[in-house]
Amino acid sequence: MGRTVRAAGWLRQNRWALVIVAVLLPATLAITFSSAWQGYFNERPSRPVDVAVGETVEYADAGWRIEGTERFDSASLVGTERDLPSGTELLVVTVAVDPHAESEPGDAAACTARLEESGNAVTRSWAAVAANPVSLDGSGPEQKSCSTTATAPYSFEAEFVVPADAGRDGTLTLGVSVLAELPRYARFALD
Amino acid sequence: MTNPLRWRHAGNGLLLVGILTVAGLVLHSAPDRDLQQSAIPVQGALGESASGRNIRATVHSVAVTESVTAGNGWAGTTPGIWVVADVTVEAVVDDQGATLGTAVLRIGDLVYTASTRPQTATVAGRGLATGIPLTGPLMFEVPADVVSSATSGSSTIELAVASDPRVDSLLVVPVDLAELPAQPAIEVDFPEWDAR
Amino acid sequence: MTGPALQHTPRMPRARALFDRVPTRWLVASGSGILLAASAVFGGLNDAEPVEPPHLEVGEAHSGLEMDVTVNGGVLIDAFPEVNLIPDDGNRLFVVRATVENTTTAARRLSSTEPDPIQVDGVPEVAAGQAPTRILVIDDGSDLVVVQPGVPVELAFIWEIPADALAAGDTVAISVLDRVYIGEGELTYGGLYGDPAVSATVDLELTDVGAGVTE
Repeated sequence: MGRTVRAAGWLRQNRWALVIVAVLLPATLAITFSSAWQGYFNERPSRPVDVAVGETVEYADAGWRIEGTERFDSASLVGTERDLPSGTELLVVTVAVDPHAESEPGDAAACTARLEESGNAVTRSWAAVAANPVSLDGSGPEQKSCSTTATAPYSFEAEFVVPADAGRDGTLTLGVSVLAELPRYARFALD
Repeated sequence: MTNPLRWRHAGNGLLLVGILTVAGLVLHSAPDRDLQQSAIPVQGALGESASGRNIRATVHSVAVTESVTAGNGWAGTTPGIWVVADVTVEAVVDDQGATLGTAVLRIGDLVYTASTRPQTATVAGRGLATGIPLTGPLMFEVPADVVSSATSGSSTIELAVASDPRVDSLLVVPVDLAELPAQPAIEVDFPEWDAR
Repeated sequence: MTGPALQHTPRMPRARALFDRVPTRWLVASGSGILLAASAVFGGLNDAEPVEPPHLEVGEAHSGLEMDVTVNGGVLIDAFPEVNLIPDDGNRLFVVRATVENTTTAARRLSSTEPDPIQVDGVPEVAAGQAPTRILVIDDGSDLVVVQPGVPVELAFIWEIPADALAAGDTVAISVLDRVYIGEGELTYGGLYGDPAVSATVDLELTDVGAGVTE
């Protein structure tokens, strides 16, 4: 019958194989899961390009800048005109877009604007009025989102219906994302 | 066989049986797919607000009635009886794809979904806004004998954001239908947004 | 290595010795023959008779595993303007009225994309098994039909047909389908019902209500 190999001897004999397994096993797991993980995050706006107040950012073949932000509460003139529900406010952000001359009319892509409140315990986000279930009276601004046909600089006004306490305890940022540029998206600080 | 060898073989056999037993126990008690994907229940109470990941709701009151008139004029008939709940619901974090997809009355084994026959006059299926509560009625068509049966005392109203409530918060509010008198007719208001 | 050949000792019974000598293939063949002969008692290799689904009258209820269906009548109508159901020029609507009651424990949704409990046969321009154009609740005309357990609801199954395909007095064969519970959905939530099979037939005589809107 064979001699039983003692533990210390077995470890020493196989030490290199064990080292290689210790390196390869986690590496295999990481590589296998990372493709799914990255695939998920690459499909949605997950890498912000932060823009400070007043700065212009180059994104999706155009220059973007926040021109101004306005808030109207439900008791104001605008609030009663648009029939804002009580306790909510209408936040309007004017964004100036400078499409670069290379893009032909019809080439520019559509964008999605979302308002985000961060810094609190939970991060909240809102979709623009067109995609929001709260329906307002009146038609609002003419240009509510990016134009796909403009070649000259233009500006659009993104409207959001938010509760009155939005931004009180956290910071509000506007996120603009274009499908072709995902996962990168432009995140503007609002003053 | 020599004595020490026999003991070693017996020891190996016992080890094998032990490993098999442990494996059997682990397999038996591991959560199956239903448990892995089940909704995460959040217990609520009548009149109190309950908060899940992306839904916060309060069931203010429940009534049992033979006919109900909704805020848009709809007055549907049913061969059973109506259970009408007044709820306030809002999205907490995100309004992307947030609708009141699951609004269910569970009486014992039976599961009734909130009627969408009143169209926009009911909160069921309506889109939810982040931080802006929507208050309105939910109407359930239930056979009259089920409402007066013994199990209706421990029925629950369950609310969730998507029509598939798995792997997300499910607000569970117990209601006692047995103690509610059957009213002949009630009127309910049109759903309203109010963030005061 | 083989052991010593089996010795037939004087103590072994004769039958056993005989049994050991019979080649195996004879045993297998005779066993199969006996089983086939036994099956002749139950019909042997004849074709099984298909079971005819029962034939019901209009107004007679049929209980199924998923739903109880009662066919109440059928009409031809021009249009349902109040629910915005107006057929193309030259077409009319063929409506089958049926009361459906859910016999399962959870609410079920009926839509034109899922196999329906009612199918029509023998209508020109409507393929056998074609889904209805719309399914509406007769009481208030609502479109999204969800049948709650134990609550019967009268529904209108509507097909759009050419105006001259059917006339008053024609008879249409209606098949009532039933489905069985297959299991809990994996990708979808809730129970899955499948395997629709014709479980009853009804012959429906049509009336023509022109443009009447009393439904």
